[in-house]
Amino acid sequence: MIETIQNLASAYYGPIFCLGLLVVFAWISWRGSNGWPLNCYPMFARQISVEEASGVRLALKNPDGTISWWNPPFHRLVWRFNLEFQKAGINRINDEVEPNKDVHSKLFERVISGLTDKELAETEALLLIFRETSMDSHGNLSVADAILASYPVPVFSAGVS
Amino acid sequence: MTPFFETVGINLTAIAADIYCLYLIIILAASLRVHHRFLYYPPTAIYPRASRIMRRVPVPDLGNIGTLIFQILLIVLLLAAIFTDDLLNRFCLAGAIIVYFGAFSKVEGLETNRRQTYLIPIYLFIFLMSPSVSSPWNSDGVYWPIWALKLALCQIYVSAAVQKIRLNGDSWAGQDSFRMHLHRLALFEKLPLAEKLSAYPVICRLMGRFIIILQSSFWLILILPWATPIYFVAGLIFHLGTAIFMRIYYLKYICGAYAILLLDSLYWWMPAERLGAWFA
Repeated sequence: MIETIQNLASAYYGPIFCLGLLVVFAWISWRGSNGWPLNCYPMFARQISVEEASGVRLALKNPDGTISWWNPPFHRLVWRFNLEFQKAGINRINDEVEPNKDVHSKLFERVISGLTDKELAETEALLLIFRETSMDSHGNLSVADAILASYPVPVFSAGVS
Repeated sequence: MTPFFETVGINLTAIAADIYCLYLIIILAASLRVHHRFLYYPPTAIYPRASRIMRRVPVPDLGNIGTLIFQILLIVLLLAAIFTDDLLNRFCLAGAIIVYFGAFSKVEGLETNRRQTYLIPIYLFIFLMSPSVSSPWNSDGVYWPIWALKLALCQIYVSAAVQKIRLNGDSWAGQDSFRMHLHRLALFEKLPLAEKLSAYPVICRLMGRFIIILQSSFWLILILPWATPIYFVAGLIFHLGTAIFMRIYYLKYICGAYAILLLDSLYWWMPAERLGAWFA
């Protein structure tokens, strides 16, 4: 009897395991669960409009007036900061949301704490720039940049964490 | 017995497990420096301090040093899984699954890790549950764990297609979705190629169609073994494209899974004795 059960379990173990896995994966995909490690992989799934293809990006302003984008060593970190700034409110034209200045300051300081000594020496201020996309009648995309805020970089700011 | 249940003269599961573990060891060792830099780069503190398994079970905050120690421990366990047999082998695989969560909890925000390492614990779990994982390479084995590994890989693509269809109907590929995503990425990153490509709507639509066709039909490898090499090549082209144009490096971790696809392709296209002789 026990041997029969063992044989049956051995014969059906693989198919049952695979079926169980299939059910779990189908459930995760159908429900759209965004968990770790079972995920529905929703990257780039949502359609975005021209208006949504916009956001804020940080730039470094040098004493001679030239501006360069802040490019940290980890990609998508800029995108993450964009989300954080937007969460704390940004102040565009016709935007009724008032920015949370404290959160903005903390985010600016967070960026400054990652600047190298050379960047610190060459940077006068951090600029919060709103990048807005528009599309003309021929379908061509263009970007307009507008400075929303400027945050002075303190001279002795190295070591802020 | 059909090939689905048994592989005669070759233990595909054990070979796949060893290849996958070896690949992970190399990648994890090569990533230690990047992970160290990520952990100690102050602006990355805006990411959550520790992740939750399935958004529910919190992973203890191990600190920066603890995370790096867990990553080294994961390498050691994977190495031990290659060189051990029987119960010890399964103990190493089970340990590696648990240690994975500690090793990646604090670096999950890193874009080369987010979602891209999720296959690791799933693959290790399938190996752990496989009856023939700890047997020699040239012994008889079972095929279904390879099918389960392919199923886990398929879920990534098919689920991505399901989300696109669920949220947008059939309009994702036809409209400017892919183009707008490319353009938006280029707004925040130094992505000159994405910026250039987004200026060509027709090419973007064609690429969008290729993506949705590839993702929504990837499950065919589960029922048509001869299609595996086709999807192996198409998948590599897709990931190379996202790496070149969008700096999305899925290949870094998914290459281990693709190596198993290659092994499976060889199994279906070559005489079993010849393939068995390779790994004898």
